[in-house]
Amino acid sequence: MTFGFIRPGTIREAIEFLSEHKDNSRIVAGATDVMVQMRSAKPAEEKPLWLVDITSIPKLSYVNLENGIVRIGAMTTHRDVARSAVIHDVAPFLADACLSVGSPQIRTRGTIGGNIVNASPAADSLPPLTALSARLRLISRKGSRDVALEEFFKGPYKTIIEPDEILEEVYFQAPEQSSCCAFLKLGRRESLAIARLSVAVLLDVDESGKISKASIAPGACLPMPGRITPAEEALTGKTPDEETVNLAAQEVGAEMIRVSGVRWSTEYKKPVACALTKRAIWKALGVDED
Amino acid sequence: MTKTKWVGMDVTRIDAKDKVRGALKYMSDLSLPNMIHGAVLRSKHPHALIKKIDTKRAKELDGVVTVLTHEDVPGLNGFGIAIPDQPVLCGDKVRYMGDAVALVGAESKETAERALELIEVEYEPLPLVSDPEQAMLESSPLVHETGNIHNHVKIERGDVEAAFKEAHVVVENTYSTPRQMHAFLEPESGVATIDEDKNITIWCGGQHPYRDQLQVARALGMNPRKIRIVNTPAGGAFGGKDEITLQIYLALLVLHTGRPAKIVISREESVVAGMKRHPMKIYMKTAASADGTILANQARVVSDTGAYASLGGPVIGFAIEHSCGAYRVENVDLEGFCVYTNNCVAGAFRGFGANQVTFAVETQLDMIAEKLGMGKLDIRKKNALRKGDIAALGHKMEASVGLMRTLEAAENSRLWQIREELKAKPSAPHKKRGIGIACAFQGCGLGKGLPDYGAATIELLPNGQFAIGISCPEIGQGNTTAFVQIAADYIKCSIDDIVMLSGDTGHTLDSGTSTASRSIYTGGNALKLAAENLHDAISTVAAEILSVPGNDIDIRYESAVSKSCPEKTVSFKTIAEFVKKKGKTIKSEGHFLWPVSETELEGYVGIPHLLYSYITQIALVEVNTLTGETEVVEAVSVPDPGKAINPQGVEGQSEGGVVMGMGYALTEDTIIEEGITLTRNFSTYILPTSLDMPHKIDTIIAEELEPSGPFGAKGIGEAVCVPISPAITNAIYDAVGVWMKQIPATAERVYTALKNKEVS
Ligand SMILES: Cc1cc2nc3c(=O)[nH]c(=O)nc-3n(C[C@H](O)[C@H](O)[C@H](O)COP(=O)(O)OP(=O)(O)OC[C@H]3O[C@@H](n4cnc5c(N)ncnc54)[C@H](O)[C@@H]3O)c2cc1C
Repeated sequence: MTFGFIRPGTIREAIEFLSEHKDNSRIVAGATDVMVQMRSAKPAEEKPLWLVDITSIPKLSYVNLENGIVRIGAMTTHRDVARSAVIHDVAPFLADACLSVGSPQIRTRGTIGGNIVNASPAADSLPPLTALSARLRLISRKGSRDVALEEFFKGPYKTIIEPDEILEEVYFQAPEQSSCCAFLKLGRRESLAIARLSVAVLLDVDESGKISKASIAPGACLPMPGRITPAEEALTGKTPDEETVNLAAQEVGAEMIRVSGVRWSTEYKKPVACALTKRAIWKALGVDED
Repeated sequence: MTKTKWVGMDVTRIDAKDKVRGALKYMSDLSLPNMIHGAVLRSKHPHALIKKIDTKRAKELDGVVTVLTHEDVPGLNGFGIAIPDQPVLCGDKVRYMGDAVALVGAESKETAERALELIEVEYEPLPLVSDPEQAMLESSPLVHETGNIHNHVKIERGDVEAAFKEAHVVVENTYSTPRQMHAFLEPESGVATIDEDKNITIWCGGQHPYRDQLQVARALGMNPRKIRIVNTPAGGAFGGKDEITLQIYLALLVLHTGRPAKIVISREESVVAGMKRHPMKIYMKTAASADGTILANQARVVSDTGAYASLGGPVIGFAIEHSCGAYRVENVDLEGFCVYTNNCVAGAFRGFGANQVTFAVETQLDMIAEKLGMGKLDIRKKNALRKGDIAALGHKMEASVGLMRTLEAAENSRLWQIREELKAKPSAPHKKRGIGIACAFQGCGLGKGLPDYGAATIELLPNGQFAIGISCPEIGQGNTTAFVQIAADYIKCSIDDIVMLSGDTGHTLDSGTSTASRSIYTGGNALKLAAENLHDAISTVAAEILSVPGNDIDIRYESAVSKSCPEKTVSFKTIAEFVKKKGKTIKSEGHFLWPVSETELEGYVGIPHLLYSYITQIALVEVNTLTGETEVVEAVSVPDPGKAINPQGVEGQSEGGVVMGMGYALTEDTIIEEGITLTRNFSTYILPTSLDMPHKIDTIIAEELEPSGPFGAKGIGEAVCVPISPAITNAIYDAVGVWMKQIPATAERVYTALKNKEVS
């Protein structure tokens, strides 16, 4: 495959270029998804593809907290998210999720923006970001727009991003100090493992010990990121005990089947999704069994 | 035994520094001036007739130098170690997705790959057969016109039926094992050149340069002498580079273009086209008396060799030989079939058929012990082969037998001693721990009926150093370092004065394969003979220099000494200078022929063996009852390699073997459905990573010296990956009470087994 390569130095330069080469350009960040996809692409004599490498744009890598809003630049690597003091403070489960990505090499190159735009159902940063009700800021020559993360996805590997748009940042309201969270992932091995199942849990527990707010977002078992409202409702207003937690976990399994149907792997995945959710809820509440 | 200066020491590997620095050039790192890049067109169907191959458009592409098909193979269009049933380039029929149909040489790799797209091949798809048991039926589509059963082995001794009747316990089960991938770090790759006289040199990772030479010569219809093969260094092999990989393609490219050529295949192509471990279905019925004595074993093994034979025939024989484990069994009824299918070709792979049957028999043994309420270690001690015993095929264990020694060392290991304490402390309430033990023996060498031979050369260099040559390639296992140690002790010089030549038909004599746990024993013995001849030659020169009679010379460390007048000495260095001045050289050769078992099994070659390595391994696992995941927490590996020439090297083999056997037991399987490989790279083919390794692997070397071996050495490269797999599955039983009869024991399978147990 023939392709052109360009490395703009500013966002402006990048979006100018993109708007001119809308139908034959591809943004490249860490390239950990792009390279894999290019390798398996069939060589063809079509129009050359422009790879627009945005790694030299200095202003896209940051994590900051201002006025209760956490902003993560799209070019922030998984390694940097996992090491960010802000993330450890306000949303440690996002740090855990980014730390579970691939291997040290992949985390050093792969970015959170790439993880989001690639839109794999198994992407590790998506369950915690979904649980956090994160929003995205997209920019193009026409201006910028904001979308809720949940509205960004159309299906597996499909999003609403326009070919001339760049994801600039992902941001979310920092959860209350009283909140707690957990991320658990089941892979086929200890590292370099794509999630077979994962779950992110974000809870707010009031003074009386009742769960006042719950967000539960599983990964790898739904076509695209989403929260499980029935599971959240099963917890909200309750004092967490064995039965409540089990009930909420059952809802995750039920939702998985409602959305994805019964497949050969369901017999395994359904009970394991329940078990994983249960453990994640308990882990968030400080009962860690691992 | 002789006192040694180097043998038995943890000598640093001779290739360590270059490998660590990245300075060592592997085959895929080589490039030659003006070379072309090759690419192979693989089949589009798992089973089809070829109606037409049109290369016109590909040839017209700018930058394409040559496009070759079956018509361009000048000699025999076939290769295969046992029988040449695999076409170099298919002309009339394809039998699996890895079959090669055409070969392109181009100015760049990209152009070569684009040219592949332009080759038009018309196929007529045929019904395929992917299940080996179905392939055995009359009604099955034929992969080869000669029939789908490539090899059949049947060995009977005593009376199994009578034994089953009188036995106290009988266990009967069916096991299945996966298509494990060698997963060497360096996919098949190489370069080649040709000179004006049409002499061809091929650098390509391999395991037997002289056999590669023959196979290339046969396909080219050329004199083997005109072909030089260099196999060292290979970036890993494990048996997967024993067969021809790219050597013939490289040769064809240089022959037809007169230009140097290079081919490096991708991981995906390697996965589809390359060798695998034979998946086997094993039916086994085993009987024991009340005291745990094994009375009888019946086995029926069906092995899937895929589209071509390669070493599938010998592998099934080897599996049958090892199907009763390293135990005395008087009544046996053992039958094996090696069957063609339209799956990926299976061939040699570390363990060579022992892995599959050992998994079965070691599980059987645990089940028997369980029924008898007997200790798992005790039942193994009870039946363990000892020197002089008669083994399953009726052959006498004439050589050293170290099984008891390994069992005793395993029993005394820390892990075994405190196992109950460790088992009682799982890391979470939903996790359960268990311990498992298993043993194995592993035939060394090619076995009875196959000529097994090896040569070594030693040359005294003008600077007083010694160049030693052994053609068994260095495939990462560290044999070259061991050869240097052995040579230094036989020659009586420093290891720093040895220059190692390996795996090159241009510079070494034929020493046979780097397979079958044989290279140390063969090369070491050949070196011993070569050193004796060298000493004779050195003595003659020393006598001349010292003006004493020839028989008055004694060889000491780095020098020759007059026996009668010990103050008269001359160093090897001085001898070298003296010889050089005279315009002469001192070169010696050693030719070693393997001893074989006295037992002859009519109609079979390659079995039985005379020498075996022995091993006991223990695994402590933790099973997550919520997910079915198994973690190997600790392992103990107790190999008997004979003398450990380089203990650190044995430890390296042992640790790598444990992890390879763990992958086999828990996660690894090349999944092929309807002839199509689904696990095409390492994102779906689940190799263990460093984080999956046991937290601790203790290797305890239990040396049972072998009198016929160099300094008492046998071999250990294969046995180390064998019993750990059933040790792990036996540990799963110990932890959660389910027998895993199908490996890999993936999380899903363990979970399902747990659920089924709950139900029943
Ligand atoms: C060996 C290996 C292991 C892996 N393991 C995991 C894992 O465990 N978990 C996991 O979630 N992922 C894993 N991945 C996938 C990958 O590493 C992640 O998805 C990563 O976050 C992608 O980021 P990147 O910067 O490399 O994206 P790239 O590959 O550069 O881009 C990915 C996609 O996003 C687009 N894109 C990137 N940045 C922007 C932007 N700012 N604006 C608009 N579009 C953009 C690109 O055009 C492309 O379509 C693995 C990949 C490999 C190769």
